[in-house]
Amino acid sequence: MAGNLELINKKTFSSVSTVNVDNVFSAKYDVYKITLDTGGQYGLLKFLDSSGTLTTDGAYDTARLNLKTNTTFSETRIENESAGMYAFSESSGSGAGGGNVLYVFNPFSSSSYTFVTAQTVDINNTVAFRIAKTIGAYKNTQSLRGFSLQALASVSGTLVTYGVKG
Amino acid sequence: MAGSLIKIDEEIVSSAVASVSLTGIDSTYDVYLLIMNNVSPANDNKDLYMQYIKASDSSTDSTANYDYATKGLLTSLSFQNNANTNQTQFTLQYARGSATNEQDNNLLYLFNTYSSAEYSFYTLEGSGLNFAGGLGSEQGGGAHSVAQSNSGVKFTWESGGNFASGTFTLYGLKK
Repeated sequence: MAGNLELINKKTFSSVSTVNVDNVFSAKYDVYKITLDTGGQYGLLKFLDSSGTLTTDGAYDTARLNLKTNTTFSETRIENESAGMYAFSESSGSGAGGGNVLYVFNPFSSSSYTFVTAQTVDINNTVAFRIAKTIGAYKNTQSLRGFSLQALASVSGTLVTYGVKG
Repeated sequence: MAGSLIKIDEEIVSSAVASVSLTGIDSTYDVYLLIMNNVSPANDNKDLYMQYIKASDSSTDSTANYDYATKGLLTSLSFQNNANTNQTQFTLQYARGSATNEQDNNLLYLFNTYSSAEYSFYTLEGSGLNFAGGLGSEQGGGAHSVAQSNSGVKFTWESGGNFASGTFTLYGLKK
């Protein structure tokens, strides 16, 4: 029997600060799963609009619970941000690593906001692990066709995008 | 190649209904994934509930055996701890809104649901806007402390309100 989790795109990258994954959202799926297995400094998720251009409006909201092994847990609460959604992990330091699983709801729809859930783990340059549980919203009803990983510095890894067939 | 995520049931709300039930849970799979997309209540500021449907007679289990704990992530307030024991239903989400774009999206993994020898468990990840239009959603899970076989789940709103929209899809995770 055919499954309902379908591979759309796999992108491996090395020593770059921005990774665009274009033409992955379509009317075929409402829900997408994205995995990121990488090391380096990174953190922001931005979307590509219907022409493949990075969105620049201040429509990104993020609420993130940071679970840290070396200090008190903390909260990140950001509204109306134009830089993007703080959905990816935020490793710091050379050789640091991480793992990310995101779900994206309704990106291609032109009648709904786009919502995200993310669960990530990373290690920073003081060898402390950070686990983050993140939710986000892109509060614009424009249709989106892709996304971008906006790294803080050079990053290497693999981004995989799946469609969850309804 | 055969996949590992197998669709079992789907309900799409196209007109107002008081409840949504997804069934077809059996011994074929041990773990099920339930995805809720663009869910909203017909009336503003309502909590979203979930109960199990018993395999024995397809009735809804309303006994006080539902325990859950969640963390509410919000942009407008400090995050909130929500926990309850011995309730007659799980509260999945709080204060959902009925205005345009105030939609709710959830991923639930259901464990041991059909087993008559174990409690039923779930984990929850949500993302959506609340009735004030702010980003806010619960993350957590719960347990139904009865070792009974369940064949499905039923969703309702606080005070018996209707669903205005939503797509609910149940998948089995291939063993």
